[in-house]
Amino acid sequence: MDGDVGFNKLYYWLHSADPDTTTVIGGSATPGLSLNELVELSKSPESTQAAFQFNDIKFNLGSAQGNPKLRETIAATYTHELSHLSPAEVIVTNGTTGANHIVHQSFLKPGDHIICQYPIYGPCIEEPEHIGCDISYIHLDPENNWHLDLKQLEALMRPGKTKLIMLNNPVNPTGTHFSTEVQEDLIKLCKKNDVVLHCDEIFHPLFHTSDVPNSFIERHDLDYEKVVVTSSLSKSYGLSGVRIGWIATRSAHLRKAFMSYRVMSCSSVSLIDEAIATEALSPRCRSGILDKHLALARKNISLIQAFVDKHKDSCDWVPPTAGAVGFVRFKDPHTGAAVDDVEFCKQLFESRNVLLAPATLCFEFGELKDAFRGRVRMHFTTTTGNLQKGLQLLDEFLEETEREATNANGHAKL
Amino acid sequence: MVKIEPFALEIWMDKFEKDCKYNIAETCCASISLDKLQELSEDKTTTILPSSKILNYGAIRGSESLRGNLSRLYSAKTGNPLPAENILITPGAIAANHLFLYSFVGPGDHVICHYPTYQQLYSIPESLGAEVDLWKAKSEKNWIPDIEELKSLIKPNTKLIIINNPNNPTGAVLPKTLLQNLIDVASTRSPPITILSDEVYRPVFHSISPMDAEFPPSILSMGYRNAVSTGSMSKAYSLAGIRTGWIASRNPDIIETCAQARDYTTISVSQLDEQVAAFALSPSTIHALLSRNIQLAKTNLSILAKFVDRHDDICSWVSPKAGTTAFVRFHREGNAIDSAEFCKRLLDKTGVLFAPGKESFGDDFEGYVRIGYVCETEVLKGGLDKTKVWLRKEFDDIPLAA
Repeated sequence: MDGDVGFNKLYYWLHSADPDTTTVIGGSATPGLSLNELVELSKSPESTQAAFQFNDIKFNLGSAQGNPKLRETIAATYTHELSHLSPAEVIVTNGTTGANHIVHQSFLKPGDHIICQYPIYGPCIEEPEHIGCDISYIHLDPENNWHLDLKQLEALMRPGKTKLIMLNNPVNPTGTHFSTEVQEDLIKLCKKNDVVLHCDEIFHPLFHTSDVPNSFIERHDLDYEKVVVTSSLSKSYGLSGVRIGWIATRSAHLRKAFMSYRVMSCSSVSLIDEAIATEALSPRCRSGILDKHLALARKNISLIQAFVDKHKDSCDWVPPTAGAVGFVRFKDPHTGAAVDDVEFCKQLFESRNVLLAPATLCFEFGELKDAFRGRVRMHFTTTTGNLQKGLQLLDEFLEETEREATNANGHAKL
Repeated sequence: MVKIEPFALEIWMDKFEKDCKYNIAETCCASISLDKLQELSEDKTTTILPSSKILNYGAIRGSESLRGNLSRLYSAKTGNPLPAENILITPGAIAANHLFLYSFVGPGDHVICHYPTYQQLYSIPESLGAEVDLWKAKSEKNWIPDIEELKSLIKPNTKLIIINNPNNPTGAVLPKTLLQNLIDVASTRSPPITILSDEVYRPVFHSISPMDAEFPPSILSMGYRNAVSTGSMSKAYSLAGIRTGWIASRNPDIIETCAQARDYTTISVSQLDEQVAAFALSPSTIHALLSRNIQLAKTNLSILAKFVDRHDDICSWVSPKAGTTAFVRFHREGNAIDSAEFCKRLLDKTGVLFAPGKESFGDDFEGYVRIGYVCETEVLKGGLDKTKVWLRKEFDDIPLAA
């Protein structure tokens, strides 16, 4: 494995500092929940409490595809009048990471052509790269709310050759999402070209405006089997330490390939975690957990918006519509030129012990250098207290930097 | 698509183990519950699963207390402690093997694998594009492979030698001298060859004493830096359902490479499972837990041995020295029976589940069945009784291997 890869940079950057003295506002997970907190959030606390009795389970190996009750519960979250997913169409995995790993490793081979959304969460590019895929990038438009242009995507397709389109929706790091119309067009385009549509939906269903589209897997009506979604409990549900994720697809052929790889690499998953996941995703708990996190996100987005408004000469952003993170761009207040985001983050860390994730280091891969200059990923599903502290320190940092710049200009004029 | 050979054994187990009445195919020491674990422990006060624990990612490479306990175990009886940083936690030994192989093996590499063994150990290197040769053990030599044969398999591009000690399915123990010879061969090549030892059945040593001159230490305790050990809580510790395993090596570069690849396979492991594992491996619990399992293995092995003896006209084996598996060959006048037919009919008529040798471990093993004998004693007794009755009635009708 090449140590010089972007994801590791994001990871090592965020973990490079002492967590006790650093204010980290560049991450992406909701605050972790405990079993006690899950009970508190539940509509029927007694039932939830009972579900967390693990003392007399015998720790045999679980089921190869995932506990049937868990798969039923996961499938139910994607099921409503217009969509139906059966438990057989769900494969339980070790987190979204485990899910994506299985999808890529079992389906892609060296030389395969894939099209990848850009920007996107690092491993979604790096793993196919490591496999030896030929990757084309569909660039989300920073001047147009990170919109995905279907015509550009179609132009990248190689009929008969393109194997997979890799998406991440809601989008990490931009905090935007694909509209229902774009979703439909994407599925139709994939169907037309017989290309697998793989969407990492780890931030689903964190939607922060009145536009709350379905998951890609819920578009049953578009009648295309080769839609694959992956997700987990880590970002939307505050349970990253409960290593439960899943792959959902209606294609039996793809599931067979996924299961073959899974059985050789991971066998069954944790019994305790499966039980917790089943309860957390159940009608008793799911909405309480999501409501909590949606309220947190709403509050925090407004705090960041206030910050951006206050410093409108120094920064801007596309207000997030979904997910857990947003892409804030910092610029020189006098010239409007985007700052060197890596330098900016380093100086911010050195002077104030605040960590943001600089885009040039963490989200730039091969293609298109300098695409995200000035941008940093900022986290709005961290605790409000943590975000407030971070913004306060960032505020001080910006004022200080501005003062220094003014003084420097002043001196230069003398 | 990475070409993966179907994992025949796992497919068999997944198909049949839910509905069988006597599961004598699976290979864990009889699973336990948390209540039972606390009962065995001297520590009656620690809450094994604190409901107030925040379930975020936790320590990414594994909890300090779990890695600390493992470090203690790998450091025992060696002059040279193994630091906790040299241990990486994974969701089970299957994931540990997969992760190490995924990060270490690629096209152009030559890998030599001990055989018979858990199919994953040679199928994954194959699927990663390596050339794989099997270092075959034979029953005539008590399932101990020959070091001279190993030497003849070595090529200029041999990068890795994989062993499984104690061995699944045979229960054989690769003795200390053999391990030393293996290390001598591997270490004197340039570059040195890495050795992976899947030690998931350590320390279920029921029929060989630690005082025995040939008692094998862990591969990490023999002074060879380029060695990797994998293990888990599933077999010796009866906690398969917590999916907790590990990779350990004295070579920090190997650990670092695996840790980076791990960001693509799993990131971190279950917080609550690690709590259980740390508790089970703590000084206040581990001795009673292991003692329970080794005693269970001894008791059950003698029951199985009686069964094999009583049927010595139709079956033979090399009695296992360690681990939880026995490899028994069924024959009619020396000719191997069809192992898949045997197992299917047995399951069908009696609900007893064995694992078919040929399907699970390779074409060399027609007539063999693998028996996981360290289940609950009652399950073994009940299953063998049913098998005895069935054999009397039906054995002669089982077709011979083609």
